[in-house]
Amino acid sequence: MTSPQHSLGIDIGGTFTDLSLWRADEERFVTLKVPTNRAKPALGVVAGLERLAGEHGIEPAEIGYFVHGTTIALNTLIERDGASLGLIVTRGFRDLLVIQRLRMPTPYNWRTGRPTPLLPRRHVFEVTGRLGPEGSEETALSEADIDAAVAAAREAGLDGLVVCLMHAYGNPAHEQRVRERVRELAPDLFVCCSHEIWPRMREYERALISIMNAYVMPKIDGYLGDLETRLAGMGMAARPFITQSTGGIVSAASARRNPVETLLSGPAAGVMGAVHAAGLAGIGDFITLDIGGTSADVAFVNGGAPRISQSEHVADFPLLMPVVGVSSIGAGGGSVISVDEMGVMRIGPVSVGADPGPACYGRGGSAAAVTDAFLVGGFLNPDTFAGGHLRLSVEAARAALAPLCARLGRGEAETVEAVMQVAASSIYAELSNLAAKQGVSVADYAMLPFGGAGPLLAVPVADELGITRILVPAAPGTLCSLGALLSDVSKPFVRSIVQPLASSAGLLADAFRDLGRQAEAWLGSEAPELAAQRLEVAADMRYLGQSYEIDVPLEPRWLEEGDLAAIGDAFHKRHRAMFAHADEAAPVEIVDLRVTIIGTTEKPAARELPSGQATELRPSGSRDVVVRGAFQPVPIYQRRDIPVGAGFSGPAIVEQDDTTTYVAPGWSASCHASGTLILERL
Amino acid sequence: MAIDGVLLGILNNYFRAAAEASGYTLERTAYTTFIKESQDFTTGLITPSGEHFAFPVSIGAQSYIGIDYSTFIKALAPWHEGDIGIANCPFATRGVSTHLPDYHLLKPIFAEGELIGFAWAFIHSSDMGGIVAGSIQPSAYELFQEGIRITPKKLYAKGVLQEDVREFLLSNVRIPDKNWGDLNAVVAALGIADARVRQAVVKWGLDAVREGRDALIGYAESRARAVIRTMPDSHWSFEDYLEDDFVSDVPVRIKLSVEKDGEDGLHFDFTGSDPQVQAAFNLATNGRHPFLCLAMFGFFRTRDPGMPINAGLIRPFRFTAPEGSVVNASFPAATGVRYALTQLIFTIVQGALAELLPGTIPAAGAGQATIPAISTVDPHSGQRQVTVIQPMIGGSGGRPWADGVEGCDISLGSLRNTPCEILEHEAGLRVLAYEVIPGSGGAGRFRGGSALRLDVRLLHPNTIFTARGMERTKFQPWGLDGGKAGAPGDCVLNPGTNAQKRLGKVNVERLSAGDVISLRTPAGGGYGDPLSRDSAKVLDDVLDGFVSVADAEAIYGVVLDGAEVDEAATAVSRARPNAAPPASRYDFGLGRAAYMRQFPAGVLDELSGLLQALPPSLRYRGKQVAVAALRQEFDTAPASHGWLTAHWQCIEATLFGTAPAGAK
Repeated sequence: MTSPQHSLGIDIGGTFTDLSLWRADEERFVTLKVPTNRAKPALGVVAGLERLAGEHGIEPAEIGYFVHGTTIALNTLIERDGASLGLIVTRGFRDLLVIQRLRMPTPYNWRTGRPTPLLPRRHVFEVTGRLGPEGSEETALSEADIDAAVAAAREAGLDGLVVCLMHAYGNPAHEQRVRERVRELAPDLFVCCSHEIWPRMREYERALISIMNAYVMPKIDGYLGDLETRLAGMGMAARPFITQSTGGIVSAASARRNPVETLLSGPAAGVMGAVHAAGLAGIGDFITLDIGGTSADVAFVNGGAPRISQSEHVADFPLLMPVVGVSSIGAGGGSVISVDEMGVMRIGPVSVGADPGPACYGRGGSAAAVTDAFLVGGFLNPDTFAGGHLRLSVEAARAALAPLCARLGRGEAETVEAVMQVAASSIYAELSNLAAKQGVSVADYAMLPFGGAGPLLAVPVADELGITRILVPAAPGTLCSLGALLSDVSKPFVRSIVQPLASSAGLLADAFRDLGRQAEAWLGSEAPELAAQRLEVAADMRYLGQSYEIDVPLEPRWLEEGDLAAIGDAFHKRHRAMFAHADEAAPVEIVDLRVTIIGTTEKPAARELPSGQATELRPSGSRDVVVRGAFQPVPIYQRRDIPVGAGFSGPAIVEQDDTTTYVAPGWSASCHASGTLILERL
Repeated sequence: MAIDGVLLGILNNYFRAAAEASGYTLERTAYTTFIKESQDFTTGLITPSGEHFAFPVSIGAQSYIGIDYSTFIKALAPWHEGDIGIANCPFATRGVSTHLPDYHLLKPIFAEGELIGFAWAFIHSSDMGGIVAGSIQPSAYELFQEGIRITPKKLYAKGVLQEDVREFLLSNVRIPDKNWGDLNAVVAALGIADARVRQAVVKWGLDAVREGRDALIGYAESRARAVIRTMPDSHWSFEDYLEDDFVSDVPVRIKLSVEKDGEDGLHFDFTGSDPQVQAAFNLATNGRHPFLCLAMFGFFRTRDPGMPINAGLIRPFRFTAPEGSVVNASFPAATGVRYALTQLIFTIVQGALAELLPGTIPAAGAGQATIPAISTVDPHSGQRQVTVIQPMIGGSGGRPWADGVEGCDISLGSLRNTPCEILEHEAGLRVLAYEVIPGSGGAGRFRGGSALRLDVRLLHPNTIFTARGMERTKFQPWGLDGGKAGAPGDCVLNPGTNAQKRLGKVNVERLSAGDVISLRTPAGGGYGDPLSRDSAKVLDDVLDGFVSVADAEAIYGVVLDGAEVDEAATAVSRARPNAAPPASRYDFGLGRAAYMRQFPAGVLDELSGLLQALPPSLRYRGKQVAVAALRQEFDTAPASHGWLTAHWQCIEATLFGTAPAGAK
């Protein structure tokens, strides 16, 4: 047995568990997919490792670095099968979870309502004791109230308690005392305090983050414990790292403490994989377009950095902490196509799901889904779909589409063309809204499609948006596991400031020093082997009196030197960039300070593929595909056969195991040295 | 139709995206926080004849669908490329603007030399001048007190800013820089929509865009009519009240009769509604307006969620809204607080629908939004600072399929609260409680949403407290089909102390440091017989503290044994004979029942008829005199029908000051 040398990234998705392995000996990536075991996800990981050993001769003991992405936290929230919790709040705030932020999802619709809280009102316990907004104690904490809460939690057989007290972001003393007392009285109850998880002002959102954290904690804990035992049993030496919603990674031990930070790690890892693939092709500004079975998701990447959002939602709840901003904007391959009495076509929102799936899966589904239209239109190869694991039935797809053709009074080809146009126009509509929200012009971006149907719809969508360059990565089906493998160790730390900028110099310098120490201590215990590390600093700031903050990146030295002018200037500039105006004379408030530590991991050396001869490029065949509303013979290329430097023009179809790319007329395709297929508008 | 359904669907996506991108641009670049937070703005696309053909769904206020812009458009014709029209006057625009703080702007969109439509946007400005900062004062009795009145003008002509218009406008408002910042955001937003529509012309051709624009309205109309076709061909009327008009204690009555108009249209008749009031509660609808049927749009979308949103939704309606009445006020009525009546009409339409379509419509929700605010003087700067505390709404009505929403009504669901931690940072107060009121939601098979309670302790020695918009402190949100009325709202000073004082409906209170003000909203009415409520739900409500053990048994007939339902005892309890089947499907609560006993509908209809004979400008005063006469004659006993007619000459004599002293 050789010493551990290979690096492995794993992503557990809803259907497949994907593996991306960097073979250090051959300096290349190996990717594979195994079915996800939804009941025992660790078994999918074990199955993948066994296939690596069996098919590629790579033993677990040879894997020296291992990064793991998991959707267990997210699924626990969506399926609502997490811990039974109690919540301890300041007296007078028992209905924090009932009132939420008051607003409802769809005003004027009588069916609307807020999401059901993760714990019932009967398990919310009030304690007397009050801190003021500056953190000073105004009423002493009542020990008797804590004791009563613990007794009630015991009586109800709860698993744990969450503590969220007014103004605890500024002074944790009361929350700490509650925890201490709970530990004295009931050491078996686990406790999550809001000041530890994400100490920011806004009592509902802070409580919610803490509750979500505690809610998913036992499941994540059980899963990671199980996984570590199994991996050790297989002889794996590497300690697993876990992907985070920020696109960074942390140790399994950290993830077990703060699982809320893994909630959106799946999509974030995909974006990190995209950043890597685009970076090799020299592209930094692009939009990802991930079209899977049930949805189309997009993210904006600027200068090689994903857009970080602090206003995402998860399972209908707001998540007020920084995450890679991924937005769900529409239909996926399983979305159902319908035509109403007036001949207007709609795609979604109903989806056939994975079971029975589109009609062409032959599992009894009869509704026409987008995938059925793609198959009838000749875009998909029925024999090699999903690597040949699933043989598609063209007949079933045509039968499902027939009633729609009849309703529209169109032939099959025209109907398929309509599906493409309607799908592309609805993605256009949502994407252009996102661009307007951010104040950017989409035409300035490239597009990086992935997922089963992303590369199929990329050209029609790009045409709508005025985008002229599309990057299809080499392995678009395993971008998440690749992203996991290539991410850096990182973690954000936050401190609430809430002071006018002008009078916050001392406070800021102290906070920066403390957060920096905290961050460095964390990284030291997390991954002592990482030599290269850096701090990124940002603040949430606003004009005094505004009710929302903006995220302003700062230079560490401004904080060290107390350069408030530079900080204010950065805020005004950022405000102008986001909102088109700024008021340099108006007083500025700094709400909180964030320090993110980044420990740079070693990346596999990118190796350029050998350049081939253009004459080597031959289509593997041809079939009838719908182009501009009519069937015509279109050449089919196999992705693995396309040598670096070779190019061709549309119309063409490119097939590979995990996706199909459609190159429309007016577009050219060529293979970049990094293996990425680059489509350009002629 | 030359363009087919597929292209129509695609154009719908395009136009909606143009309207929404315009909205997001406005939100992003708006200057005042108020616009970003409250989303009190909207964007859209309008045909050359003045109808919406695209309206944003994911952003902006939704209550302006189907406003008629033709008067505004004609007033500024001919339009040229680069023009931008502006107006805020409800009367000069015939109901485009509904109160002066709303600026409406139009930008013509030209393609190949043809005017193909207008980009439109409105924003609620934080100040438009007038009697008070913020411009809205409930006691204003004519429009001129409510701010600068802008009749349609061109702010830009052929791309050139009209400096004199700008100067005139900004010199009449308190925060000119902010107003101008917001107007610039609107101009940017209009530019986005304009460019997007012209791109669609390039892509699909002028003919397709022109036809698609008109066909989309027809498409929405036909889907709205398809829903109306399923409604029974019957007639029903419903009425409800503003508890008072702020300047007197006489309730304001709104009466609505609904009937089918052909097989797929509706006639909304507001005959019998009170004359316009001499306060700021009037609606300037020009007799045809979405504010008169907003609940129907919600109803359409509940029935047909995919329905496109544009002027087609209002086409199936015929309105009768008597001129000079509070629902179709005449110039120069004050209209600042028009949302109170808009909310009330929402509830009234709901009540009428409940009669037409039993078993599908919820009971009444709180139907009001109280905006409590404190004003303090900074001891150092001497500047007065005004802070809105929390929007206080109250629960929605029980629904035939689910309980009402706690603490917020459906028609006000776009309002967001302020985190109490932020509030305490910014204002001189401490929040002692921000919670639901147990037992407040109207009992029913499906319970009404609970009321909210907000207790704050004031920290400044010199604080002025106001609570604008309080309603339903006497006339409770009604229960339906056996459900009980929701609790009324209230306001109490220093609760639970010796200094406790019930304030009821608050206008302005001067308070001191240490005072605790406790505001309680109304709660939603219940739906269906409480005795038929699932006993497991009653148990849940008890365990969660929404219902007491005593009420569970007394109101719901559910007997509990610890944390379990005593099934046998419950069966016995629920089998008790119903004392008296309710006379009406609606439970209006005690306050309104007493008022209706004193002033039966027949008498109020009689009064309404008599007032019509007076000149419009005297009807309000005539009503006040008549009500005073009725009160004097009958005290709290029921007024008798015919008395007013018999004594009308006396009442007129009092009104015109010709009555001899001492006469009635």
